[in-house]
Amino acid sequence: MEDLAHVTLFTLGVALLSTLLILPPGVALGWLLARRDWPGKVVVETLVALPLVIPPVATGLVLLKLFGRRGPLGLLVQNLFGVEIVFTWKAVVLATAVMSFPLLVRSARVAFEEVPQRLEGMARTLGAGPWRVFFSISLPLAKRGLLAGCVLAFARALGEFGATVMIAGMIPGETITLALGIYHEVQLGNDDAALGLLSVSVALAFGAVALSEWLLRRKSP
Amino acid sequence: MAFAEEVAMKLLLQEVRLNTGTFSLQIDAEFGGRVTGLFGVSGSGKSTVVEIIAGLRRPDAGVVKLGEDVLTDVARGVHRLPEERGVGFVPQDGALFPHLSVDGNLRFAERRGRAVDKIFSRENVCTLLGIDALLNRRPATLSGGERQRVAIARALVSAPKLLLLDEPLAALDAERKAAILPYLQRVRDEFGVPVLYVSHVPQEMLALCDDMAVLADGRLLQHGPVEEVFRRPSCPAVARIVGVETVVPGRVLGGEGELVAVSVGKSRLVGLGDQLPAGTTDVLVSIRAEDVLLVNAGSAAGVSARNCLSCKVTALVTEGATVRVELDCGFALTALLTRQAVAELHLAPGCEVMALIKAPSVHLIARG
Repeated sequence: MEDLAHVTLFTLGVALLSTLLILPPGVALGWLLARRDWPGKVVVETLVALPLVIPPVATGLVLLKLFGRRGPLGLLVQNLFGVEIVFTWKAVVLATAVMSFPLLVRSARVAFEEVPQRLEGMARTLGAGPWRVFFSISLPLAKRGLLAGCVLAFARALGEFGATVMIAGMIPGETITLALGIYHEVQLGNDDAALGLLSVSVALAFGAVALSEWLLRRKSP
Repeated sequence: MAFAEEVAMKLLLQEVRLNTGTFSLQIDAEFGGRVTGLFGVSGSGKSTVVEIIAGLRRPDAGVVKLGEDVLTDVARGVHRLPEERGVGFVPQDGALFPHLSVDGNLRFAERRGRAVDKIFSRENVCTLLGIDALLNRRPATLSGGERQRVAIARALVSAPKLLLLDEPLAALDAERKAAILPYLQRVRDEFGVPVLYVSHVPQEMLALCDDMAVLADGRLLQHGPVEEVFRRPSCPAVARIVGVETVVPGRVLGGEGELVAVSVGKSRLVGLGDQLPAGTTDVLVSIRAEDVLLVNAGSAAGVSARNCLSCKVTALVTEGATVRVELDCGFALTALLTRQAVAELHLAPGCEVMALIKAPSVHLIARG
């Protein structure tokens, strides 16, 4: 029981942290894709969408090679902060963040595309610079789509398995989330424990979907 | 009227060109009136011109100057950002920010930390446009007319050096239009901001503008005082777009019922006054040239038309199948006849004729 509570809180914490981490870059990139033309836009668009279409395990392998002890980014982080990522809870956050990033970016892009461009132009003629237009006009008008994107990213993070298992392994008390836990318990033959984790997963998923429905249906203020 | 001289801020468009593939704009103009009308049918390029002036669109070539300020100079790579231009813009639907209250919309436009003439203060602007009671409302709950007044107020609060009104009345029904015109006249007279007023409705040009420019297919066809453009279109295209009209100032003499007598020059005309606000004294009288009938002098006994004016033909201008007959009947009047009719009446400069105009064809427009 104590384990169940721990795993649940850990999973929620990881999902929340990874959503918060990808929120600023996700919103920024969504806006850049919706409103600006720049060289390499197509390449970035494709790269961001990649985790949606390749097997999560493959994404996990790429991350492992990049952030592993001898990987280029792993070495960089080690040298800069003296921190090791792989097979720690940080690896879980990294994996879930990478896997939910495309969902957030796509939602943000659509949300910004739906903001009438003439309102942004109007705000400029009233004396507002690009930053003020972004924070006072674009962001509030895209708010609902952005929130829905966050819930989507959060829900994706809750259920992430393939990439996480590659880069974080299954270390009880250290990297085991609900999704990893279910697999782990079944492997060990503990079907009762697996069912407990399953019911929590279903409840959380239900809550997230209900929240996103509520966000989307709530009358805009 | 006190501002008439102060507002000599000139807007210069010098060889401004824009080509979008399907549409090409080429315009060279200098606007100097208090209110200049930009007249043209939809697709003529009016909105493009407005967007270029507001800085929302870059032309391919040309110079845009407001007073001494160079806003755009393509050859020298100058393109001032919209927020640096001080050009207020009110589009057809107002473009209010839907997530902000009316007050929030106005506050957004306020220039922060910059001393601004008291006349542009929120309080003053709200009072003049009669929107004090709307401040806490959301744009979605406003009527079309209220929305436009708030949009105009918002542009004014930003203390603009030039106000662009892009068909501000087009989305309103006739009654709401009539209700909002006095506010526009007030903006013109009280704020001293020069206005470029875009429309395709002749009555709005007459009620608000001093000068007007006629735009068709991205080219400026004619530019001059409103009365002049309506009376003497420079080419058949302009005549077709604006319609040939006599437009003269008049003074209300009094009326019986719906008929109102107006003195115009040395003559007296009778028109329908049911559209005039009570107590109007100064009006513009507009008579479409095709509504004027001409008969030989002396043969107009017992006609139904309320206005029979004896006049002298001053000029004949043939335009395709029709002839524009310019007359002097105490004021300058224009009639549009077929070539056949002109031949049968033996019209020539110097001829004496009678002009017949029915009262409903004498349009009276309040000039505040």
